Amino acid sequence: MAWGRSSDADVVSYSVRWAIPPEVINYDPVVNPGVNVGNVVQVPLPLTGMPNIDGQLTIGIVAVDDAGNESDPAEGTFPFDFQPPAPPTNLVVG
Amino acid sequence: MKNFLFGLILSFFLVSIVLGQVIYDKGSFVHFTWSEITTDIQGNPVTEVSCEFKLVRDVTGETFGPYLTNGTELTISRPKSGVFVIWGRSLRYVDGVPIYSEWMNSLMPEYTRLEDGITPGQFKVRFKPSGPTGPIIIY
Repeated sequence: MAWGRSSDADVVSYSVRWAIPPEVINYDPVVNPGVNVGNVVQVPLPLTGMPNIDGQLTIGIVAVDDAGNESDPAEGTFPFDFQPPAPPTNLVVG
Repeated sequence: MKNFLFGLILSFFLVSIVLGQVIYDKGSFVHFTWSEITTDIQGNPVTEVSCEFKLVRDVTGETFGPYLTNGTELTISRPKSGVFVIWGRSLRYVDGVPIYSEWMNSLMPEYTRLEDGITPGQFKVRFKPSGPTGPIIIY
């Protein structure tokens, strides 16, 4: 996943939050702090804590400045398949 | 605090309240007004009083200003993102020497008014950081 860098020089990191539609993302940092991914503009998915979903997921990204203030979010809803495969079966020692 | 009066009367757009403090979200600038100062702290008439203000950023304590004016309103452009307390004081010159009032700030209800122009209150101003640009791309 990638996004464009904030134009603010004070921004030191980005925080990613998510919700499964029709639920909307709660951006209250106390209730839902999200995952701080650092001062980067791309991350591999899924992030730690994301649901093993096969379906739509709404993702929101906010910029965080050096005093902990958060920007308004960039947000989008996308289809994902994070379902893990089934474990090996018929394991036999021969 | 002496009886030196500032009545800050601000115009606002978005408001949130944290621990009794009102936080006014602003875009690229904050505009505020105050009452004309016509007396000194003993009630004697004075003229040609100027005011200076500064913004002090929460957490980091960074200070922006002072912004000086002879009027009773001021517009300050967003100095950087963050939550700010507005500090102000007045001054007048006596024989070429500036005489300053004590500092007041926007957390002092006795010197401030909320958006109705009547209710004393404590407030701060927030400039949010700029958000991520462009669309989120999944690849």
